[in-house]
Amino acid sequence: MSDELVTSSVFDIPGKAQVFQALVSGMHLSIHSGELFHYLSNHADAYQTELATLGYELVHEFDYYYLQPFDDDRSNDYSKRCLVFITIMIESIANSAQDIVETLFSERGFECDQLPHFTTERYRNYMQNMQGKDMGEDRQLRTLLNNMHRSGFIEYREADNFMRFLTPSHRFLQLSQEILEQHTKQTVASEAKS
Amino acid sequence: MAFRYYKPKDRINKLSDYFELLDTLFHYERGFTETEFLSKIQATKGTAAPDSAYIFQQLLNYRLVDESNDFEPLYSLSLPYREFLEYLYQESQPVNSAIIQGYITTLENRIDDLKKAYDENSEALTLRFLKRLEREINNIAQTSSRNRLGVINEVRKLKLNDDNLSYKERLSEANRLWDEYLEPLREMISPQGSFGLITDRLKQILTVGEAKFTSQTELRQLFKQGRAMRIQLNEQTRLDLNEAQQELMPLREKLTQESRLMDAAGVIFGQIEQGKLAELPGFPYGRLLKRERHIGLAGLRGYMAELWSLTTEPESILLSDTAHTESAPLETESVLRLLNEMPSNSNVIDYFLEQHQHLTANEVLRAVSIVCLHQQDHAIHIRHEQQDYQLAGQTWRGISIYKGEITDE
Repeated sequence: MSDELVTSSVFDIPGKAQVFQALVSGMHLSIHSGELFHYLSNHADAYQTELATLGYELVHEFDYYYLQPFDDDRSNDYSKRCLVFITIMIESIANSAQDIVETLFSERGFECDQLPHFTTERYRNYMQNMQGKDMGEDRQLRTLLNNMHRSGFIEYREADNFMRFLTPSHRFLQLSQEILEQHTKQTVASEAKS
Repeated sequence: MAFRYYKPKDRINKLSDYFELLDTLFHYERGFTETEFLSKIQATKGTAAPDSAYIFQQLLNYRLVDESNDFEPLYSLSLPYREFLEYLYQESQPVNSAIIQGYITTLENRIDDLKKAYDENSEALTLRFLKRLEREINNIAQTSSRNRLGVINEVRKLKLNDDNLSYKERLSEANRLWDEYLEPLREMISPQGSFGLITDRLKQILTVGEAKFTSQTELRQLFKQGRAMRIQLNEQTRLDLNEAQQELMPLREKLTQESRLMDAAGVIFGQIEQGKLAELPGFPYGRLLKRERHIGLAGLRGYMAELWSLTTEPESILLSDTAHTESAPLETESVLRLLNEMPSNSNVIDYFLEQHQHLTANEVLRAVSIVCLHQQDHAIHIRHEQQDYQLAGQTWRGISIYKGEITDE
């Protein structure tokens, strides 16, 4: 039976409960999210309308969706932690003379015990700075990977020692570009003053 | 060194005799010092071969090898052989715009020669200069094609990055290719560029000549050929430039984007090092989103959970990284137990806070979610007005949620 046949009212969007739960818990739904993505992309307009009535904006970028509350641009520490995690990956890939974006999003992924985040003193300091609490490195990394997995930023299989970045991680690449732009503007402004 | 003339066949034979050595030299563009060169000869020559010093002198005499003007001279493969090997290996190098400009100057000279031949009404000179002109046009066409292959070859090397260049080195190399080879060529080929102007002059001189020597069959034929070659050359140079650009542009854009990512990484790490972590921007989602919305939305739309057919407790994202508390005080079972225990007409959140004095906002929110899911079993009512709660020393504004018969009025 097709989804269209089951849909009888605007309150009856297929997969609504699961999709809502996933989105509200901060998950990014991409093609890797399976049927949730299928429900959402097939009824994107209906979802968008209904979520708007609840105060959320359904954002669609590249091939993924996520929720954003209207008029709320407050950030949280978790997103900063993800940003720093990815930034370390970017620098480490660049230092190994590989293509940054291609390698970052490669389907081959990465072995978790080979990740660069605790391999140098500098990276370790960044990670500890983000943490703010005394927590074992291994546990800190696993917690972050688990959370990023739940948010749909990465695929993480602890048992296989495997992780790979999914397209929603592009949000952090965009964010870092914005940070650079802001920094450049500030530098130009302060140079103009002096 | 005295100039010696050797027959082309002898020179090719010499190249063949010492191919292994010269091939090594081809791949080592900087060139060898005399000592290094002699040792390379020693390493590659056969047992019956003449003395290394003799071979060295022969290679210089045949001009297979060039000597630099340095204090300690370096010996490298001479340019014609380098180009020949590049051609054989299909490893064309991009052609510097100065070289193309050189061809254009020659073309200008040929046009001037033709003009003089016309003035002198000399069919013989016109024929001679037309043939030379044809050769020049062919040279330019080949150079243009070599340039395209050269750029493509360089881009391929940059993509493979066998030399392990850093992203910055690769970007600078891509920019160099663009600035040194493509940009000048583009300007040159444009209608107002030197190449555009010279092909216009060429068109005029050929048209004039064709009209002047219309009775001479061979010349007329050559003029027609010349005009056709000119059109073909124009098209080919544009095509070559476009293809070279298309090859280089995506790589250049990609490297530029990646270079920006690295610059951004520098800014981000700089902020952390300066202790300005809090100033780093982020975005709202995850638990924050839930926290804000669960209180607000539940207040605004009391039956959101029902509306959305929420059937299970949402998973939390561990923002604080306090490891997932196995003994969290308000898991489903304990929330339901508290609901049963609490007297009727009680504010649910106040009751929870009385029972567990150190609850975090997140734990309260999670408990409220659970209460919403089970509201019909416990006569839960949500009033429209909001109220303040004290959580861990902070004031939180949220819904008024009651167990019992309290109404909105």
